Amino acid sequence: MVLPSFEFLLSSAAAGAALALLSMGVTLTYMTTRVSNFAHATMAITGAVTTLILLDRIFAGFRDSPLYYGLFIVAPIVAALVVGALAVIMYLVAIRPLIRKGTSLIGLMIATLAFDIILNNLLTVVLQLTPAQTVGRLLEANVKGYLVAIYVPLVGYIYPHRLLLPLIALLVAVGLHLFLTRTPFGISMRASIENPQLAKIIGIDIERIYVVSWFLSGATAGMAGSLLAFEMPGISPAAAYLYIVSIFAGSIVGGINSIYGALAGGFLVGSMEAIVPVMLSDLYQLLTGSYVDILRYQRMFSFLLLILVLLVAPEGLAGIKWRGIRRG
Amino acid sequence: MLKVESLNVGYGKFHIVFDVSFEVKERSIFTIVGPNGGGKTTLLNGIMGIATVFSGRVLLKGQDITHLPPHQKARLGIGYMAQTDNIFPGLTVIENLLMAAYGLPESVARDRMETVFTYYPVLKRRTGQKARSLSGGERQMLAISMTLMRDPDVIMLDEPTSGLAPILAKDLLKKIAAMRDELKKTVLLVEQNVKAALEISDDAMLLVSGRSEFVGKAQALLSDEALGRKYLGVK
Ligand SMILES: Nc1ncnc2c1ncn2[C@@H]1O[C@H](COP(=O)(O)OP(=O)(O)OP(=O)(O)O)[C@@H](O)[C@H]1O
Ligand SMILES: [Mg+2]
Repeated sequence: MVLPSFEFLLSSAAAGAALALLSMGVTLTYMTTRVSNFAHATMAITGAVTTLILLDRIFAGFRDSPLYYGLFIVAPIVAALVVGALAVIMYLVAIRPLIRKGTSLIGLMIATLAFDIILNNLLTVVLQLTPAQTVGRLLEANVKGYLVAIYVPLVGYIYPHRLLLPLIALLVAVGLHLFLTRTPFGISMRASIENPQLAKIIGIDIERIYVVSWFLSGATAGMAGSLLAFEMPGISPAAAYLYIVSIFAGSIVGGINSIYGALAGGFLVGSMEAIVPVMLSDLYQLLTGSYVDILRYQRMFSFLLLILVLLVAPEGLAGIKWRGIRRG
Repeated sequence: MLKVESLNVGYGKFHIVFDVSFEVKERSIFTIVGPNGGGKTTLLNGIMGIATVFSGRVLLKGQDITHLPPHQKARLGIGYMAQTDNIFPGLTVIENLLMAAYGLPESVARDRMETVFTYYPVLKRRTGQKARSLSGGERQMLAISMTLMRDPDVIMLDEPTSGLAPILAKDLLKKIAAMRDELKKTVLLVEQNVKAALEISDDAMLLVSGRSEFVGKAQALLSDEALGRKYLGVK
């Protein structure tokens, strides 16, 4: 079998990093407000669409200036803020009133699904209103056209923007860790997750924490979606329905109740989905001489992984006693 | 200091505490006693705002606080040590204490912590330790310390001596009396240690099946043989 190229490993790492961010977001709002947010993938797509509109419409005037490339850094940040705000609106308008009415967890799940369908359809409308023939071509012309490949000796040409996703995921992971362990607000978030009632009694405004957790969840989804826009051949809101499955797989592999677990689980699922099918179809081609597009069945592998992990460690990656294993 | 007027409390649709009224005077200890399941914890939860108040009022220093969210009541000056789950096991001792002063300036929180350590020096040796690794007695100390971190006017303690060895329980009740006498605190206490608790109390209430069967001087309840025999196992 041919060794995977550096470029291929990089794009797999980017896929893993994106899913790490997304699984983390789903886990975060689940841990604070106990809501399984089925709109999370569509929120990421909202980040992608925001990026597209920014680069193609709002920043279009800069197109001939070298500043345009810098806007690729600005766009993900704007997308993060937009989707973060959207998540807060969703929480305040749709989720919190239902929680106050005592809606069951299933009811809340369905509510996020309803929100998802509305948002997803809105995105489709927005994309149809853009005069480009296909979103893919728009992206090809306006985004990909500005991507520069750099030649690295021994490795070959790489696109530096590919490094951005893994790098940002890493930064978010480290930042989140410092936030949760070093800042009073972060510690109060952990306290509220552990025992919301006690948190209230000792004077913590847990409502504020819930709002912030929805913002963080939305913002990371928007950022991941924005960066994915540079990876994807085109933006399709319908893709959210495939993607949400992988997001939850990552969250569950990580252990549902662990933010670090979700980061690890998401990375594992995301990079596996990118690597394993390609390797397998290469192997198949090598053995039989004929080609089969296993990539079309890539979600299958996340679920194989999900079942395997749950069989070995029912509480996910975070439930494994890592220290105990090291001591033997 | 703390006044409760015909309070009706429960959880969701369950009505558990009926028409209870009493007043805890400034710098006094008011003790609630009564059989298990009588609604003592529910009453305190209602005052704090984590159980449903159907009707009635709670006044703190004359201000109606009945329907304020719990975290605001805490910040206004009510320290509440719940009967169970009153510490964060996954947080370190120092994090538990700092959270109990959340929103106060860091320097104030650190000062309070030093004060608390003078009451419970053991905690000072455990600051970096996760609270889940503390012994039962140490957890109790941490929980009480947490209620003191905001220097509240009113302290509500739900069975603070439960699970403690008799000597430690007696010592704790002495400390509670000292909170009133030296720290000038107002204390609302729930206790199963009826005799010892009533001896340090000024006023008392007997709560049976969610209704108050007696409100008055602690001494009077202590010497009421009929009530004592019927509900409290006091001879
Ligand atoms: N969350 C809840 N939902 C419904 N009912 C509850 C809830 N918590 C307690 N109860 C019921 O309320 C009643 C009073 O309970 P409560 O804990 O207030 O009694 P208590 O006097 O504090 O008892 P103990 O001395 O054992 O602590 C009990 O019948 C209990 O089953
Ligand atoms: Mg009780």
